Amino acid sequence: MGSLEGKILVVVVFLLLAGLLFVYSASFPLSLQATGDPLSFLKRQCIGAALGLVAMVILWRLDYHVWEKIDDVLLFGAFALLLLTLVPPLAEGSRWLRLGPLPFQPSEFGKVALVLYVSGSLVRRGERIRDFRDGVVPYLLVVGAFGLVLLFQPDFGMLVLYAAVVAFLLWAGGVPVRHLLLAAAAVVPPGALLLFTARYRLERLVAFLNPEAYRDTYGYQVYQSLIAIGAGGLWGRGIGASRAKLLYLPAAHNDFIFAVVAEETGLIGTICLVGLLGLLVWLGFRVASRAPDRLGALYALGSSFLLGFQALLNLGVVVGLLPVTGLTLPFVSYGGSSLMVSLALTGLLLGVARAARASAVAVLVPEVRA
Amino acid sequence: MTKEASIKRATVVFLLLALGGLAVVGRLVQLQVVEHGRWVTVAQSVQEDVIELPARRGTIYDRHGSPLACDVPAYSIALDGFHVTKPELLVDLLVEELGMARETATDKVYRAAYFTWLARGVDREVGARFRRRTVELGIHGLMFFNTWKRVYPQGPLALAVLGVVGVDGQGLDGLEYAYDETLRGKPRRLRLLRSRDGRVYDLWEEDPGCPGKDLHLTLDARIQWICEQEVTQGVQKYVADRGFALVMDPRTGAILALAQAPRYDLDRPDPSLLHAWAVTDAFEPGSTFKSLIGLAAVDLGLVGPEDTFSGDSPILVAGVPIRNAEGKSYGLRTFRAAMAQSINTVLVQVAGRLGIERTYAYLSRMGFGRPTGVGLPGESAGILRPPERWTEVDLATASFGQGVAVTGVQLGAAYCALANGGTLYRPYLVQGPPEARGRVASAEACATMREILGYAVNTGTGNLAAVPGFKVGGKSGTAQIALPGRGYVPGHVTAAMAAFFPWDNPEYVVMVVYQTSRSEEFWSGSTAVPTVGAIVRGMAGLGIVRPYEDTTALGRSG
Repeated sequence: MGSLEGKILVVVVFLLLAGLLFVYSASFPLSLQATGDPLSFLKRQCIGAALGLVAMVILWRLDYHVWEKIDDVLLFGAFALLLLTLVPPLAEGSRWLRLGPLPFQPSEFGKVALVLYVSGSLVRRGERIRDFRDGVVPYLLVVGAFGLVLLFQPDFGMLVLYAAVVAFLLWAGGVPVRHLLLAAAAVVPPGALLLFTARYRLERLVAFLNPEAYRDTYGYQVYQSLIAIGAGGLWGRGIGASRAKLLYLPAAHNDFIFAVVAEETGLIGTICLVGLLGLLVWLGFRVASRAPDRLGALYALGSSFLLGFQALLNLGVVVGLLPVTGLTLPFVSYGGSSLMVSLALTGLLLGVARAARASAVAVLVPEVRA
Repeated sequence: MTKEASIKRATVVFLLLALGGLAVVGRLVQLQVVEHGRWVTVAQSVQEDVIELPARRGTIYDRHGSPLACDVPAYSIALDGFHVTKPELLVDLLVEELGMARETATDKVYRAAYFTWLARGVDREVGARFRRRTVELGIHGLMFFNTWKRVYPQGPLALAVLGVVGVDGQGLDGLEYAYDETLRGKPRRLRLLRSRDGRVYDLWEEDPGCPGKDLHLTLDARIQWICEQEVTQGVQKYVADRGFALVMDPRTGAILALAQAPRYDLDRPDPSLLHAWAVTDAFEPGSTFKSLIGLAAVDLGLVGPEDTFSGDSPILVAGVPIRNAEGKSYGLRTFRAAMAQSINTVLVQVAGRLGIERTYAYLSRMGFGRPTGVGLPGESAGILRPPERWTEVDLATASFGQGVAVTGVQLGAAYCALANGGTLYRPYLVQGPPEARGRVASAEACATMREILGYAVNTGTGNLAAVPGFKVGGKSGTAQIALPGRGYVPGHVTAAMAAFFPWDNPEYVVMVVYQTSRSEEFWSGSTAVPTVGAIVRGMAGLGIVRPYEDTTALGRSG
């Protein structure tokens, strides 16, 4: 398949398989300790992958204009689910909902809803987005509403991601630069205040600035991550041979799974993985530039930016370039919701790509007739 | 805004993303290639543990190849606290089979650790039975390591010389300590990879190690045994605090026996009894020193055996009266008789003829005032002050062995020189070529002095050391002990006998020293001297030595 869809599918299948392999490898000791079954985490991840593939195929096959009609409902629904995490009997941890057999993370689904809603509404508003009240304020309110709940959880990393994807879409959607700067001026000071008021965030920042000095306290996780990555060397210890996963590295199977990949496959493996993620983002960008209309372009840009930016935040944390945020690595980290959403965003990309192919044929056919 | 304009705007952001990606790749190169070595080391220190299992320690043999101390296979038993099952049964088993106190056993079994030594150096049979019973009872989580245990085939013989070995196979005193590196070998090193909660995921051998080297001593287990018996009996019989017996080969300086009492007891360890005090402690030699002062005077031709001296007491030296033992006056006596009767005032006159410089020179050449290098830890140098700090009175008291301090091995080495015709050898315990340290006197002077000392044993203060047929010569000495800050205190006495046989061509130097702090009537003539005799008889009784003649060579003329 030489088409964009084919390339995207190949890349995603590689990412998905690598993810399952490393979830199995990285979760083995924890899984054994927690449940007695070394495969238990992998099994749950497979369910997430299956559901995600179904979602991907649906998004791929349906005309993406469908979403524009219901994106406000989806956004409202996502927000309602997010609010439910504040209700103790329903919540599991602080970020998950207990619905059915698998815990479910509403903030992950909020990402899709946000991409759909912001893109759709920007298209709907047309030229009115040049007005600050129509082009910026409603989105600030949406991000603010989601942000309040996310801060309650607390999940600062997700808030940053939400803010970034909305800002990006506004920028790509055509909101004037000075409005965006004004919004940033309004948002950054309270953001900084939040950063320095929560003790754990301050600790993470201090640890980030000097992980070695705080390697037994706040910097422990990042230091263990650096050990794992560094010890991997050029070729790695071999798949399955990570030592950091022997409970030294907390969250080795989800947020810090990249460190396990780095330890087991070395620089060769990490460059391949970063390359695959970069390739996917690049393909998403090309889908956007071939999209038949502005809505499709914004969907494709939003999806690929979201995947790319989240990956970058995660990698930056794991390699010690950014303070700890708690975001997963798309496709690879353990977490059913995260995996399903990554696949769903891919489905959205594929849907736009499919429409682009159809319209290209449509454009081509009259030429042939002529 | 058109779609194209949107794409154009987005391009900028995607380029920034790409830059971010490049930064991550750059960081990966730094961590995984540039700093790789450093992180591997850090990872090792965090994730790996090292277990060292001692190598088989070298055997210590006596001069005839009998093992004195050797390693036998044993078990060290450790507990994996995460996999232990039926801990209450395990506690019972430890109490029953290994004789462990219940509290100790409970503490070890319930300790929250992944690796706890339960017992080390357990005998093979005991360990095997223990292991069998744990299997029968279904107790899991035990680790059995093959290791070694130090045993003493001759019983607790010569432990003050040998020293003992600690639980990790390290020498704690004596030769075990001094030759630890030789004996120890290289331990087997195991590395284990463990998870943070203590599960062992991998275990491999890093270094197979190599067994330690054996040590061949100059000690003769039989003579050592005799000496230990005699000196132990002597300490009890004479109400002494402690005693030692030293037997040397005067022709080489080799130590054949170094025994002391009270003996170190393996069941009730008292580390202070592991120091060979003939090496570590200095004492005032008393009259045993007279033969060495006499040797110097004879060597210089200042005195002959038949020269006569006044044996009256006291004698004034620089205005200070110096007395004989019990203040006895003897009238005119030959030098020979004065040695036999151990007359202090005569030796004071002999030392007066020598003078401070020459006396010091002789004593220094005989090895006093510095360690002999015998090879045991903590050797004392004794006390021999430099001549410029001597007064005439010091010279006078030194002539009968007060005011100087010597160690047993120093005195033994000096008597060896007297016995072998004037060569000072380094006293030694580990077999090797003898090391001559220099000449101390002419062979003739030594022969003359030995003849006088043979006479002294046959007729004088040393007569309880005489054993018919063995031609024992020697000099006894009884010295008061000066206590720190109190000077000489009555009841604190060193009693010594330094002897050799046969006196005309000595093959053995035998020395016995006792110290007491609680006996008013404590004389060498009735303590150290008979013990020397008993040792010689013991050696004869075991057939180590045969009589040199059937009758005594010297008449009882004196």
